[in-house]
Amino acid sequence: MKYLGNKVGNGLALGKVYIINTKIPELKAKKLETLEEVAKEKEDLKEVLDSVVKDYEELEINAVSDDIKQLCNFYKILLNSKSLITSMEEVIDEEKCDKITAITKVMKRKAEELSLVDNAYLKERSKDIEDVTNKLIRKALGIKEVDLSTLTEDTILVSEEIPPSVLLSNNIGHVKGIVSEIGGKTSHVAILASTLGIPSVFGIKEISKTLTDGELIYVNGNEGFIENNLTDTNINAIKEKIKKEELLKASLVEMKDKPSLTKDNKSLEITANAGDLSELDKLLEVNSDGIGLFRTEFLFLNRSTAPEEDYLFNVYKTFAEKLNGKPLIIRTLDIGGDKKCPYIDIGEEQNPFLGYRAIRYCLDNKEFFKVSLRAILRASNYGNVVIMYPMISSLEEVYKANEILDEAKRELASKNIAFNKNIKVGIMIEVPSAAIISDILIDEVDFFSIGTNDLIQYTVAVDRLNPTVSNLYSFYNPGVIRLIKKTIDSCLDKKDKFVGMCGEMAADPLAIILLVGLGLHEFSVNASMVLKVKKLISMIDSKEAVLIANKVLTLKTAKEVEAYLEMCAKRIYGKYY
Amino acid sequence: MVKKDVVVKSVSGLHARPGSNLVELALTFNSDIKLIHNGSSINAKEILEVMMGNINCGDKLTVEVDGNDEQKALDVICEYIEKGEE
Repeated sequence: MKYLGNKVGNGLALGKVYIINTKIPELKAKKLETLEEVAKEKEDLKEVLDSVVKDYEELEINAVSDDIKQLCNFYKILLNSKSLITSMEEVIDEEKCDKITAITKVMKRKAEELSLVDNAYLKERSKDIEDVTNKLIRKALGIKEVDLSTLTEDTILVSEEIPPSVLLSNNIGHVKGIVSEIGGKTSHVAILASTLGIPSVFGIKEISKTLTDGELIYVNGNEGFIENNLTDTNINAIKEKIKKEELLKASLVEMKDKPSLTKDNKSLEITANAGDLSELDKLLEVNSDGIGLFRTEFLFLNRSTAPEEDYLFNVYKTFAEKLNGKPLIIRTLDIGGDKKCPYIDIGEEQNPFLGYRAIRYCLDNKEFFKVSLRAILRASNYGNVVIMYPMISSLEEVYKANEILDEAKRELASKNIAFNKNIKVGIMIEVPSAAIISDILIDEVDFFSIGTNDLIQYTVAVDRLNPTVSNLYSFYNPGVIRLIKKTIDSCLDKKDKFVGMCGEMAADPLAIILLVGLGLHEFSVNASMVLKVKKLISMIDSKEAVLIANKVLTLKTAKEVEAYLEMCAKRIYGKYY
Repeated sequence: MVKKDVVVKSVSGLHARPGSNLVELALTFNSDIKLIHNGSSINAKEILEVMMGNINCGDKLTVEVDGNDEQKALDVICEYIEKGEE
């Protein structure tokens, strides 16, 4: 049986289920009678806190990664808070209650305060506080922590919600996968799992009640599903897959300092998508050829007022400087659709994805749009900064956006503020009409970046999150492939112009062969995929890929395309696929 | 009491890592250290207060320090806030 969830990534795993129950038993509050008892209880409280702080200090010293060190450090500082301890002592004094009641009460209040703040990051941190609270209570009750160091077989941790503390210990070599019912991509568990390279799938409802301890399951963190009730044939195929994946992983380290070349030395660009600050370190680490898609939404979401120009400028400048001359393609705000800001009035819409979105809103709200444009222009003085407009569907929109950009340039020039006067401007190709008139659009811009997630969604008219129709969503749909070909062909022989792709298709091993053959120049993928894509491309002969692409263009169904590319991939990638 | 106006340089504001580092630094001084941000006062030694202060890159702060090591503390804290990420 297959269960779908949210992919957290980190590869594939096979192992036995180990269900973690993090629930603390219901406790009866104790009533303290004498002053001595109250004093003693407060002393005990202090001891519990000190001892947990010590645990975290030890974990911090022995931490195998920076993220773990950071989390232990955060917990330690949290428990060193004077106001926290004073509040707990006050509760004991006033209510004459036991330390556990006091701990629970104060920590719960703090977690609630955090969860009320309208900020996804802080909301996740309220989960951390619950984790610390439970640790304090376990300590107070003398309950032993979940000990994973005694595991002897490959194990998949399954829980309603995995507390990050479980992953802080060093002896988790047998933990091969993580499955949970709750937990987002920004949760500490997701970050730790990525750091430790543990394949994970989150968000599968009721899964800790569905699976049984000890049963063998398959975790696919790349695609976001798990599977149980495996047959022997299944198990062997999965083992084979995991082996190849590991072989590929091991070969990636040496790719870091190599240029992005095909097997026959055609130079391509492999850039990274970035959507929040934590990704900057990651993509510097994998040495990508730049940022092919800088999503600016994170700077606008989770706040009550629009960000100021200086704030945006500072962020863009930091990224531009750190990239050290490599391109930073900044996509202007892609708001609307499923992303809403309290200070941006989109209005009620029946079809938000076909509604007031991205560039459509910005073109109507010129002053608001210019704040972003001026910030980008100012940052262009500090690095290789490039502008990209999202959701373009017609030539008029490009004209209008460029007019506003010229206005922003004039404003800066009149104040003698420096910027790159020849800043490059490109557009996303994610609306079918734009792909179809790409031969017209190319004359007005410096580059295209094909956004496959939306392009496929709009071309095939399918919501890929709707499970009843999501099977129609395919990279290999011949209609989609023709639009991509049309877009790339529009740029042929245009000097100094190029076509890139940001979107999951650019990291798909089968699609990559086709895309190299069609002549795509830039592949912008998640930071964690950069080295893998570089490695795959290094095995592809671009002339052979052209022949493969020509053959694909004669195939009539997505199934035929996929089967044919699958065959080519086996030959090209050999032992890695 | 000594005080100084600073602008936050860290790209991630004083959330997450820069916030924890600031608190850790503040805890090494005896003086009381306050960050005045949009009219509200934040105790720099309390991680939750600092995090919930929602202090972003580019924000202006007044650092107020009161105690026996106030000048040293003011210098060190302001330098940290104005430095930003490495």
